[in-house]
Amino acid sequence: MSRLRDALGGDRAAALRSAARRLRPASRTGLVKRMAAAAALVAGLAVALLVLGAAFSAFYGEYGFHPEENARSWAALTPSYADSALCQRCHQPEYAPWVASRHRTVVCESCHGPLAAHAAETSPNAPAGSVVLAKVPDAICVACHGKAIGRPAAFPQVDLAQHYAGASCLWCHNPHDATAVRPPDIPHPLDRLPACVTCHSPAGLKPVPAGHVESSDGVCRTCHARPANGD
Amino acid sequence: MSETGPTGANEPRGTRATLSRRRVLQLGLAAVPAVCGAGLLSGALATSHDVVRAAEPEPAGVAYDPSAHDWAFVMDTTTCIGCGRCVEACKLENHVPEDPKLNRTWVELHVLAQDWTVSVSSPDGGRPSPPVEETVPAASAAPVRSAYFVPRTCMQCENPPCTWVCPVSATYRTEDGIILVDEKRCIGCGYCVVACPYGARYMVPAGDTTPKGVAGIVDKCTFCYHRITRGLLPACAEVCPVNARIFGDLNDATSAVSVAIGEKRVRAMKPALGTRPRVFYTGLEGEVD
Repeated sequence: MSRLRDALGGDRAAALRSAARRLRPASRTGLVKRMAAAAALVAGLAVALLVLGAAFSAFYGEYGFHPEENARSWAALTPSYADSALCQRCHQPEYAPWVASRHRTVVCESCHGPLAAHAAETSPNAPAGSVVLAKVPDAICVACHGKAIGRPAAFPQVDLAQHYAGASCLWCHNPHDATAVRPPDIPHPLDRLPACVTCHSPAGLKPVPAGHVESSDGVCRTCHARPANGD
Repeated sequence: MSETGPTGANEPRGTRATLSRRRVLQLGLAAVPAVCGAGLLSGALATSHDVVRAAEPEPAGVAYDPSAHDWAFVMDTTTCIGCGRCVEACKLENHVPEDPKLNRTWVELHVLAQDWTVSVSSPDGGRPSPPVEETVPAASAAPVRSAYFVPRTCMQCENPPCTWVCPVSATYRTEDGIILVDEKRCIGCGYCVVACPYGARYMVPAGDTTPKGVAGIVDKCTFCYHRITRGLLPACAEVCPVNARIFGDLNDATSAVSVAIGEKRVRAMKPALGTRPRVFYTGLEGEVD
């Protein structure tokens, strides 16, 4: 000891002894108390952090941890528009001429509307005869084929005022095979003749084909004209 | 120099240092299991959350890998006829409000008059057939040099201004390049609506909702994310009768959009903004840049 005291110098050795004594517990009870206090502190902090962590997780979890989760929920929405191949399963008579026609780039749903609406309306619980856009209105034809500024010159367009005004497109045009039947010209002179329906009523001398309705001369002449050099 | 008493002027400081060091150690020791525990608990909660999600029916494209795709459009103004079937299909597919001014996609008529003045119009978003008399610009007295239809939609910019300005990071860009809106984070402030240089966003009006049934927030084109992740075309491209909306994957050299970019001369709209759009145009003059 004296050698150590000599080596370190008296003051420093005394300080070391003093420090060692303080670090050593005064008794066994003191040691237990200190360990218990430390354990309580550790446990308390652990509980506090667990509660905070759980609260944060519950709050943030509602928002999702990554944008990817939100993107997946966008991807999970249900489509309404399908594919013409699905329509073909039931509508082969319309599909077959369509797929070989000029109109093959115009998918079924472009004119008839989304398949999902059709499926909903034709489901067993839906009222009968409520098929969506089974008969397409002329406005759909005109949407593409009405003459308008901005349309490419090569695209077939009609000036509605000049093209059989008052007639329905479907009277002459078949949209599925993209063909049209030109209404025949009137082969006979019209001078000194009574109204068209005198002879051309369904019960008349020369009845009109099925689908025509009895009407006035003006309506007949909407579609049927004399040849350009006639009359 | 008593052995039990203070041994020097620096002793009190030494004592404090010892105690403080011990406390630091205690705190550190306590923190390790606590942090581990909290981490484990939050991890467990996250796992249970994911399990709930996974239990929901997954879309058909469950194997969809966003990192493998780079979706893009080529809008061909040389073939567009302005029929508005795309606008109609978008409204029906994506629960877009009936208000003709609010659209995810719309069609514009660009008219360049003889005196080089430009008029851009889009009555009712171009949804109905353009009535002949209404599509002629106001300055119709002057003959028209050129007129063509321009399909419009979100450009899905690679460098999107909308995501920069969002104060809550609700709008973001997916790995496959689609800008989406997180309906749980969006607070409906509308900054993105005014930040978009292409006018592609709108606030969902009162009484209406987004496709996910959320009211009071922003909605926008998603390139029909629910369709393209299933291998379908976006609804607008599906119904386009003249193939003016060419859609596909830039990562696939054989896709329609890659072929179109190779074959046609394409350009972006407002390229000087540096937004790097994923929607390209053919035949677009610089009138709206």
